[in-house]
Amino acid sequence: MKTISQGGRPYYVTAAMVAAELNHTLACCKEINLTASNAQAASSRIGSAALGFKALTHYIDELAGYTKRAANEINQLAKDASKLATETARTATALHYFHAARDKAANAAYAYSMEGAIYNTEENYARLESDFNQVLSKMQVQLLDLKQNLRSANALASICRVEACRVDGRFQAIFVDVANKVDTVAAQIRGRVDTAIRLFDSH
Amino acid sequence: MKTQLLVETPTHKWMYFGRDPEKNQKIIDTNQYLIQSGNQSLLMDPGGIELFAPMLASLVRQLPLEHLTYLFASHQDPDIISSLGLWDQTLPKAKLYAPWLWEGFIRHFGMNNISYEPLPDKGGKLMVGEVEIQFVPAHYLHASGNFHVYDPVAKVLMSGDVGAALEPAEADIFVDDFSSHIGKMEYFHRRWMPSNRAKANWVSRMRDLDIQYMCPQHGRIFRGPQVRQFLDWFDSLDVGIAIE
Repeated sequence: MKTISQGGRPYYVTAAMVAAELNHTLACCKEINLTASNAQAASSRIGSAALGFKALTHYIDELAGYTKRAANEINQLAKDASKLATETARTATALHYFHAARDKAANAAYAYSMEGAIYNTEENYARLESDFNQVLSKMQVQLLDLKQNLRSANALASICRVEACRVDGRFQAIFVDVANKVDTVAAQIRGRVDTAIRLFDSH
Repeated sequence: MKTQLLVETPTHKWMYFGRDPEKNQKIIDTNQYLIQSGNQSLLMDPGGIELFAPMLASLVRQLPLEHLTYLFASHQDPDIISSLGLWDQTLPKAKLYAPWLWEGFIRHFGMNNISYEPLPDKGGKLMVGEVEIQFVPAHYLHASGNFHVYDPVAKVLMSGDVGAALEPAEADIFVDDFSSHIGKMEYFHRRWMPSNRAKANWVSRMRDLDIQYMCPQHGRIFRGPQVRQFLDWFDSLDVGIAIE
């Protein structure tokens, strides 16, 4: 487990960048939702010849729903992490100044009266760091889960193409478009998720 | 950081803190003042983040931190109170007296523990140990919500930015010759103070007070007759020059 105090870009910046990447993912999810709705409408127009395809639109919708939920959850975790990292950085700054004051006041009559504040701040720092690491680890697990689940998008797109071959030639282009869209948007989301994972790995 | 006893009465004392030799030369030098009476104390304009460590170290030479019960911020500037987030972790039970106008702004410095005691425009009073001090309105001098602290027993006025001078950090803490000191404070007052009307109003109210020490947040302290000299000089000064 990496810790918040490691060098390089501050973690509160990284967490904010991850949250931004996941915001883009939410926009992609809306696109998949729209694609699923369009596919469903087209299937209804075509009728019984597109029944197999109509069933697939349900899965496309589900995939979009799952991705949206996961992205929202990870986004919230990223916001929490950014907040915790900011608070930790502030507490670390306070400790830095407390330690400087303790050094300067080595022989002061009432130097002991600083110890309570220093102890509480050290405790607070340790708690914040632990909370941050927990959120970070949860977020990393969820990002990998999301990436794993997005693999099913490729399978869905392939089945869409197979179903497209079964309908009348006039309608094939619509279903091939749906398959392409699912492929493209899933690749976009995977790209965002990979960027988010890379952002953490670069620390 | 230089620490000096200014006034001592049977009930309380005023301490001066400033001229920190280790201060970054690029930040403006600031004066901090403390009223200590029994188990209670008021630290006025505690200063910026950069000053926190030397300030804290100087304070624990004078009193245990549990006796530092009150903070005062004359206004919202960073050199006045940007250390608040650090004091907040040092003195969680303390109270901060500051203009009501700036509460939402000052809280940006970080304040989860200390309680904010908003000062109404007309000012107020506070018992610090055995002494009652007054928060005197000094609005528009220079901030739009601004207070000074007057102690009628020790006859000390903590005058915030009024009376401030721009000079090297190693300068003496007391004004020696008023005439030669004018050059060090004229530009500051003409440029930082925005309102002749506010200035005249403040001067007129201060003339009614018995002030033996006038303690600005930058520069040097005025003593005895120098206070009257300052009021006369300031009264005749044209301020708010940036719009000319």
